[in-house]
Amino acid sequence: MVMKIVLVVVLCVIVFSGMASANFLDWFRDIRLSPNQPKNVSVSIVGVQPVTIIIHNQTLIGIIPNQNTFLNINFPVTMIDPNGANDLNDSSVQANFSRSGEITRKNDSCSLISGQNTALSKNYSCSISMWYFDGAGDWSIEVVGRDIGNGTIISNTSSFSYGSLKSIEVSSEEITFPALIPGATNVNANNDPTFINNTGNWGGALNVRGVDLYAPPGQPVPSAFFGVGNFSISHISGNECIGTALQNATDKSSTNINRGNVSAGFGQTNVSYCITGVPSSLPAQQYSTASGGSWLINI
Amino acid sequence: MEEKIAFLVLSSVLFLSLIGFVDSFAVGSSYWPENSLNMAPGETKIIDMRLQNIVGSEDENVRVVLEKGKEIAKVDEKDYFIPLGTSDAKVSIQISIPEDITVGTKYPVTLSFTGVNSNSGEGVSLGVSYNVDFDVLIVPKIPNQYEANSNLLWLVVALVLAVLVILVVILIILAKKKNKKIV
Repeated sequence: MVMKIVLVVVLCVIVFSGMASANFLDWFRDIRLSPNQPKNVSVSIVGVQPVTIIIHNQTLIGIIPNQNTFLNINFPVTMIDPNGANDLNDSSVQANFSRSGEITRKNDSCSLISGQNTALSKNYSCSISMWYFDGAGDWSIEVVGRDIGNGTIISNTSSFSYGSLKSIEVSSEEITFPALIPGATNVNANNDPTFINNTGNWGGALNVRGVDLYAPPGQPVPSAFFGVGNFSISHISGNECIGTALQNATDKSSTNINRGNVSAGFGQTNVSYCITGVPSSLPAQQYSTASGGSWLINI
Repeated sequence: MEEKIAFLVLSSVLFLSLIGFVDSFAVGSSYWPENSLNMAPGETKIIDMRLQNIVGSEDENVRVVLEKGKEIAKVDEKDYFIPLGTSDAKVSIQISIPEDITVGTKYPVTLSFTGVNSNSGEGVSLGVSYNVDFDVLIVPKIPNQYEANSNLLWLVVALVLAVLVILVVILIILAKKKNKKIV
């Protein structure tokens, strides 16, 4: 009688706990990864001998473009063939990165990693070059391979995030104005425009942050300053004197700078400068950014 | 007349020459306005901005200032020395979210990175500055799957123990009844 009761109770416990979405049997199952950890995803082709490609994207985290050049992104791939690793076509493994609105980047021949073959699998190393002007965001990874026996094409996809890079190159090292007379108006710089190349993948407003010019040490009137509000800028040469007026320590936008291949003529803009008026009361002496700080081209 | 000539001579000193370096550092980020950093209430994370000086012609000093988001973000605000050839100098930002914050809250964070070049003091120098903006979006806390399983496991163990206790009680009652019959 007692044994019957014990058996009934134990059976009840197993049956009822097994009906729960999670139960003590889970203890013996695999430990699950939390949702934000990288995962290998595999796809099998059924109907033929199932062949699998695994894209190892775990290392593709925090990828940031290299300024004004390319970045080689390397990742390993595993191909598994139940017919045996010798049935894998080593020269068929290809990979590409793609994203809507962007040029697809690819590697037509991932290379076999020697010394890592098993009876059923081989590892390959894929390297794809991404450029500084390729867009920031999620990119798809596609890997394609082929087995020798039946010529089956196998593919799998994954993804990675390509970061944002702010980088500009200001080409003009020296901009000069002709000699000024107090009271003069609309005086153009005599060696502008400043050429600006976008050597990153961010595009948007380009600002100039001017600061008032003060008399450097040794000048007759050390307290005098030349207000930056007397300067204006434009990205159109010839329009600088009717362009955007600068304001002390404030970003003023005259144009946008787009991202693009600078070598192909994209991702470029320029800034021209004008002194709209030299105050008549301004003491004739030198003025500089030595104490007020540099003017900044800001994105 | 003499006075006017003297004035013009002095005026010729009033020329401006914009001199300076071509700043070529860069700053990279894994977060930007369209790609928020998602964090849960009570969570703390350290993220990195990456400074580069790959294509410049000289070493750079970059001044880092936290402009916006001081209520949740901390960064070591100082000048960072970036030698020529650097591709990955990290500037770490610690972000801590209060426990009592509402899910859906968005914190804008802005950091400025300004090239600090030498200034000759004889003219106007040009520099380069970048503002890196991103949002920290407060999302619900996602329970750790292993932790959740562990909690369920304890629940089942407690259930089993409860059943065993009931079983023991039943056995004792049955034993007592049996003893009474014998007596």
